[in-house]
Amino acid sequence: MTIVVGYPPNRRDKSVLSLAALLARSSGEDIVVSTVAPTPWPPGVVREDTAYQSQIDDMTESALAQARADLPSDVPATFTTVKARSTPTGLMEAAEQHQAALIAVGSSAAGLFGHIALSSVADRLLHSSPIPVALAPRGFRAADIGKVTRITVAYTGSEQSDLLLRAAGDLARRFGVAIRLASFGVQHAPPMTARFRTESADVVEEWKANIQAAARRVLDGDEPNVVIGQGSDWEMALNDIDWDDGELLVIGSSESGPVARVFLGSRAAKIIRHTPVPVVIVPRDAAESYQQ
Amino acid sequence: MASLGEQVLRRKPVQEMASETGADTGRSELKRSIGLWSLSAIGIGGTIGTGIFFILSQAVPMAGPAVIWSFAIAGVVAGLTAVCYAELAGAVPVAGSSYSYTYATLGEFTAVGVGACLLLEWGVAGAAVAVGWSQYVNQFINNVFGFQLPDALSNAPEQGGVFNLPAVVLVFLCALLLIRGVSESAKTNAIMVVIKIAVLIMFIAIGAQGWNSDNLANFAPFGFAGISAAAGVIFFTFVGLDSVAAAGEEAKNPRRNLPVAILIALATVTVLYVLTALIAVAAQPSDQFQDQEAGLAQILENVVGSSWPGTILAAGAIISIFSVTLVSLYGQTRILFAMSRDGMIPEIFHRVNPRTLTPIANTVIVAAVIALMAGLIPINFLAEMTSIGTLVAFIAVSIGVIVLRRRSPDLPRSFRVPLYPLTPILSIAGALWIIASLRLITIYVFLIWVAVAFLWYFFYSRKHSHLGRHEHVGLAAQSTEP
Repeated sequence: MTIVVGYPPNRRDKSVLSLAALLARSSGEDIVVSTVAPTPWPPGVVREDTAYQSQIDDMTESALAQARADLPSDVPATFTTVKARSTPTGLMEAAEQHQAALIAVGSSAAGLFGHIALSSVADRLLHSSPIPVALAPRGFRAADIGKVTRITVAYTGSEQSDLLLRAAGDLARRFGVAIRLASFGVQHAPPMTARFRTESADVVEEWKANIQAAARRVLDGDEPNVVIGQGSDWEMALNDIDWDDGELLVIGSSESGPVARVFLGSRAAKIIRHTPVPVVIVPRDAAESYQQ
Repeated sequence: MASLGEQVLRRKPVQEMASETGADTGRSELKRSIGLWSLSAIGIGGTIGTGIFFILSQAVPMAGPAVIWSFAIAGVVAGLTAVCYAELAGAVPVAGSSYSYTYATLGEFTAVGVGACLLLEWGVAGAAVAVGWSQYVNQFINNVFGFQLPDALSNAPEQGGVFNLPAVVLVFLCALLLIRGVSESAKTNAIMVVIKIAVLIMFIAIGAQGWNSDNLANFAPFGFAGISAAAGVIFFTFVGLDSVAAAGEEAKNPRRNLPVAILIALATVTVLYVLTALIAVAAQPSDQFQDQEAGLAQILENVVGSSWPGTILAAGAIISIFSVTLVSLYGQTRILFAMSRDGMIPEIFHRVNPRTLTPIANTVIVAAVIALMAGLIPINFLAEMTSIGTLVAFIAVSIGVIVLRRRSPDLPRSFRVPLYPLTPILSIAGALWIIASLRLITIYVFLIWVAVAFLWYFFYSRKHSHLGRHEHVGLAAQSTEP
């Protein structure tokens, strides 16, 4: 299996290379770094665009040369230019051609350092990719020989989450790492007079036990680690749990989107925005195929 | 600094061109994959469908029913030149326009002149086609919705309007698509070709029922002069035949297939054109062509006595002319791109937007200029300017063939002009003859235009030429960027 990396032709993006190298190193997969250039016009219709085409070729070549220099040398990689009508389409075509298991893209250049900001390309991929999409936070760097150390799954306990959990379990086996279940509780602080607060610790315990039970059922008896992040907003809830250096967050696509594709739900979007680690989004269809 | 003579005559070395386009590195080496029929289809598709939809209302008043001979003459000249073009395309190992060929064979000065002609061939043609489009849109709206745009908004000032709005809108729509990075795929191209041919065949089939030999009685009211004058305007409809030659690099067995494909395309196109023209002049007295808008559609309506065939024809024309405008605009921006890379015109024309990978500034400037022309200049003048520009560019190509044969007779050529030197000489003579028959105002405007281009060369390009600065041509821009 292969990881397709979407590399921008216009700017250097070390973070996505770093993420791809981390994933490839952990799973023993190879990398295809792809830059997408516009499809050339059919020959004969216009013949005046040679100079233009060669400049586009120069641009993509130099972007790939940059990628070649920046990619850690210990992972097997090939570098290609894909001609397509749009970048997301080109990446999905490349993924199909190489039978890739995953597409990795970086963050938008406009995002906050250390956080994930969806670029227009990532956004399109999240709404149409049939295979998992990995997103690197802006400025993400893994240690040169780093591997994935743990996989955290955003888990809600629903049937949809069960599929996701199996997919993540499969990923963890391939990476040879432990899996951890994370659930996030976001609630505004209740007024002091309410009695709810005193019970909230019990609620969390109950919740944790439920999740553990569900996870035991899904993962055939393994006892997974469960953490619950609480806060009055998503940022606090995500900061509430600890994150390892080689941690990877796996989330599923929305339960109400189109069946076969990644479709980002509102909660997932919030999690992505505030997580400090790379995220892998698994489309429902891909999650189901793990089950069979 | 090099002497003036050296500057004017400096040629882009063929070696350098080859490495620039990666011909030797194998990076962009093109596969020879196009067979004879696809090659002919490229020629047919590249030629049909621009002028024929609206050129008759200009050409028939000049020549009368003898306009069919004008089509034949224009076709032969276009065919001769296409053959010359094929040799040059095969000898100079770089795909590209006549600008690049001229730069390699006749020198920098002439190349700028040819570049100026190409601006007419593509840019002005784009404007002409957009104006023709607006006529058919108006016709279509009238047939379907029962109202017409006011003349003030659909005609050039000289023809009683203020501004040709639909033409301008079309140009900007195309520019928008190009900025977004659209590319015409082989599939859409094929569909467009089929639509164009189907529409013409429909015209011929239905129009034949309105045949009236009386209309042909006064066959050549203006004699031979009229015929050749009309050929000058019509030549515009044969532009694009040379696209066969341009695709020659990717053709299988070019030595045989190139000339045959050019002949097939030429024959098909000429037969279709002549039939269309014959039916048109037989169905409608020639004095009614003058200033007729959306001519073919109106003829059909008169023949059938109802509006549906005209509506279908107008719809076909609207669809196919749209794609032609897109291609013209694209070609124009890319010619300027190439010239800018060589340092002939300011750098802004080869600045590529890093996100869309398209030359946005270039496209916007080109679209603005073409839109102005389309909005303000009447179509017959635009068509004549296109013809003269193309003819002169073709002459340069034919001369280039002769020059290259003399200068480097041993250069490997994938295709050689048959009957050398007769073919290029005939092609030059034919082109000159057609030019001589154009209206004087066209020739004057053209001479002024070329003079401006040469002035530009002396005051700008001469000093900025990347070749002159001994920079690595074309890659200069890259080395200065981080």
